[in-house]
Amino acid sequence: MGKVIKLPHDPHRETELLLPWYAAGRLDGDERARVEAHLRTCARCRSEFAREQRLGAEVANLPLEADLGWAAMLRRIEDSEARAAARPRSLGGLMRAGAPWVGWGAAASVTLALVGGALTHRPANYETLGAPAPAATTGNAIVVFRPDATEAAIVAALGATHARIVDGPTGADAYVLRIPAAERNAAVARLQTLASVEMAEPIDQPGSP
Amino acid sequence: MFGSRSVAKGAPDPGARPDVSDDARLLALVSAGDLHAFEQLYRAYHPRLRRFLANVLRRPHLVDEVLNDTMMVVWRQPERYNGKSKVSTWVYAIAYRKALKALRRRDEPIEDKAADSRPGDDPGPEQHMGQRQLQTVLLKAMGELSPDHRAVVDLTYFHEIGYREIAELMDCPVDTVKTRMFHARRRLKALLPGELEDWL
Repeated sequence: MGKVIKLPHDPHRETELLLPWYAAGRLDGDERARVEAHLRTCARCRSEFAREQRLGAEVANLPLEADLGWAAMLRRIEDSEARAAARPRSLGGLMRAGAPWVGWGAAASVTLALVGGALTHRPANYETLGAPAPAATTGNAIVVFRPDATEAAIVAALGATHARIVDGPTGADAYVLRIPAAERNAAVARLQTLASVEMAEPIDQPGSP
Repeated sequence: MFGSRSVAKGAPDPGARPDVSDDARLLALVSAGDLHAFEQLYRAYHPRLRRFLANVLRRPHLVDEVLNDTMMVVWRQPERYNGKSKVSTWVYAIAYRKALKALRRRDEPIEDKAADSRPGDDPGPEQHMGQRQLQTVLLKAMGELSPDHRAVVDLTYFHEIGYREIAELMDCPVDTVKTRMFHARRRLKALLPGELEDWL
């Protein structure tokens, strides 16, 4: 409860305290008469009364429900966008979020030996004639993009080499690529020339050509 | 007489409210279990209570719940109305207590702290303060007040309830109502940008 101000006999103060209810026409006869008598003689309080009328009307006119409803709606939109922003939007981020990483996550650096070793348990039937469609995680090349590579540059590099990311990233941010076998070596050579690419190497499975 | 407010309200006209005897008659019927009479009371109070609760709670999702909690008391315990005040004072008092209880129970922050960092609310110095901007700034300033102060401000300005009735429904001395209103007005004016304060 706020501090109670003793009603003084100061007509300015009394008028100021009563103005909201005077403006609303909610004072009894005696109070109204005292306020009116004071307003007749006090320019300062008349000015305050004009401001009071305006403030009261503006507050009464506030479309409170719609505004508060809209404010809540805005908060909801902002929360939802904040959650969406927390989800990774970059290619790398999408891969991190979307691709379960099996056997690669602990890699501290990317070496062909490690990559080859990690892939040895995978089906080796991916490029043989008449073989079933390759599993999503079988790859025949690996690439590491530069940290500053843009998403557009990555997409362009993959498009130019007909490569698809089928796994990754590893702990060292390497991606496993699937490239049509006949184009693989040329594609890897091309990737190695791109400014967005840190490293690109073919991966050959044991027993594969 | 210097006249009451010169700016017309866009909100429902308090003059359209059912008269006091209407409320008392309906409440007497409610006491006898008349659901139709209760529906009339409910419909008559719904818009006023929504506005009042929206202002005090400032949490739209709580408004309907507290409103119906309030009207449930009217339905189930009409005998608690002692006839010494207006029915509306009694109903507002229930709503006010329910609102404060809901705020305490939810332990939700009463103020919208994030509003301070939300862009677009405050007009730049070169911007003209249009009506919509004025409302946005004023709404934000209202949000900075405590629920007690917001209740007094809205009960006075929108519901046009006298300070004695407000004191009764808030269960506090009349001087407390006057000083709450005094401080709330001063705080509101202090929270408004200089341009708006000059404009008022």
